[in-house]
Amino acid sequence: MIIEKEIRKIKERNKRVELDKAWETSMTRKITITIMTYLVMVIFFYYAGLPKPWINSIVPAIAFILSTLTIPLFKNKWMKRKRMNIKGQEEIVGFIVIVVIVMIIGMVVLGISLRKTTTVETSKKYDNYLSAMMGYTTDCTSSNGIKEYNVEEILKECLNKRTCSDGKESCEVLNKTISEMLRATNPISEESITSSYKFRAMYIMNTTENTGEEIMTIEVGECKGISQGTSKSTSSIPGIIRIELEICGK
Amino acid sequence: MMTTKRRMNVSGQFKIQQMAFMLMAVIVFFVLAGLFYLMLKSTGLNKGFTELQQEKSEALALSIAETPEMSCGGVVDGGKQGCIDTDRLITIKNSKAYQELLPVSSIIIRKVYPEIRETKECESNNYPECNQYTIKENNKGYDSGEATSYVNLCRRVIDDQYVKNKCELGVIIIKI
Repeated sequence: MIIEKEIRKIKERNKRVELDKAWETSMTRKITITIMTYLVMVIFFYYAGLPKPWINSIVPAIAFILSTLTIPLFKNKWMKRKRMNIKGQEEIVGFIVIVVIVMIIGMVVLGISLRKTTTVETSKKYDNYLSAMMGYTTDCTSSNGIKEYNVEEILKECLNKRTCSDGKESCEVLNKTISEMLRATNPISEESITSSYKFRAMYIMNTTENTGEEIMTIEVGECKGISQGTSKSTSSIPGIIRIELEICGK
Repeated sequence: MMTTKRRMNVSGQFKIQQMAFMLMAVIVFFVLAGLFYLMLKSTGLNKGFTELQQEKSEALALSIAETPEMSCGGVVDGGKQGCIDTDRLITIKNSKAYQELLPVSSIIIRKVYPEIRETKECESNNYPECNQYTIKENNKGYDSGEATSYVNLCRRVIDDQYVKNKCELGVIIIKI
């Protein structure tokens, strides 16, 4: 009677253990943890302000799925070693190696995610600013002395390597005017809100391409915040002159 | 037999309890996650609203600059956008009728390049050797924000018997 009772107890325990084991290896558990891992990572990415949280969070979720796979090749090797009664110390070394590898992978992923994005936000304010800059009348006068060129016109003169009526190079006047204008309106100092600015003008022959002959580039400071900017194109037959302006805050 | 049944019942109840706790934890987790997401969304909306208000104010500043009383109106370079005729500014500066017409509490137009170190209010006796035009200033009213927009400040100059256009860089500052 006592033995029967003991056997029943053992059977009950076995059933319970089997159920636990079944849950451990069940697809429901895997799916639930995968979804939860994904959601937690999405929330973390949002909170940390990291880019594309819905896409980047797929990585840890897939990593979890991989961790649940048995991987027969490694399993067989492990079982063979286990049967051979390899020392526990080796197990610990193996475990440490895995932890170190996971940590390195994690740090690499985090480093890539935290890398600063260099996107430039378009701004209506700087759109007006660039238009006003283009309309500024420079000191360069046409050879007949009738017309005083504005920045937009002197860009074309500079492209054609022409000189002003007073003998000055149009490119020199252009460079001086733009540099002074940018410095006066976007001062870079400890107190100012601007950390850097970049002005670039280039001649593009084929409008489908984004590169061309550079007319001038002015770059001052180092960007420490969000960059805002705008671009403008002006016709210079047979191509166009593309003007880009980027201003970075703190 | 009775004892075994009772033990099984207790075990079942324990499992149900465990399941209930688990479900509650999952629900609480999703509620918190949802709240967190909503909080982030509303922060983004607030930011968007502020940016939109700022853009609206800047557009208003530009539209004031383009009123016929101020704009270059085809006199300079075919009437380009954001161009203020400073010759006109001098004449409308003290016009009460124009000041009442505009739906803002303050309008100041300032030359920013070429730079003049100190602020010199433009009047007919010092024009164009000055850098600020105060069109309207009402400090008594409710100030709900300031907006600025870059503009060209253009005027006509006579040089060697030729009439030329001279445009400088300025900002229009409005207070709503």
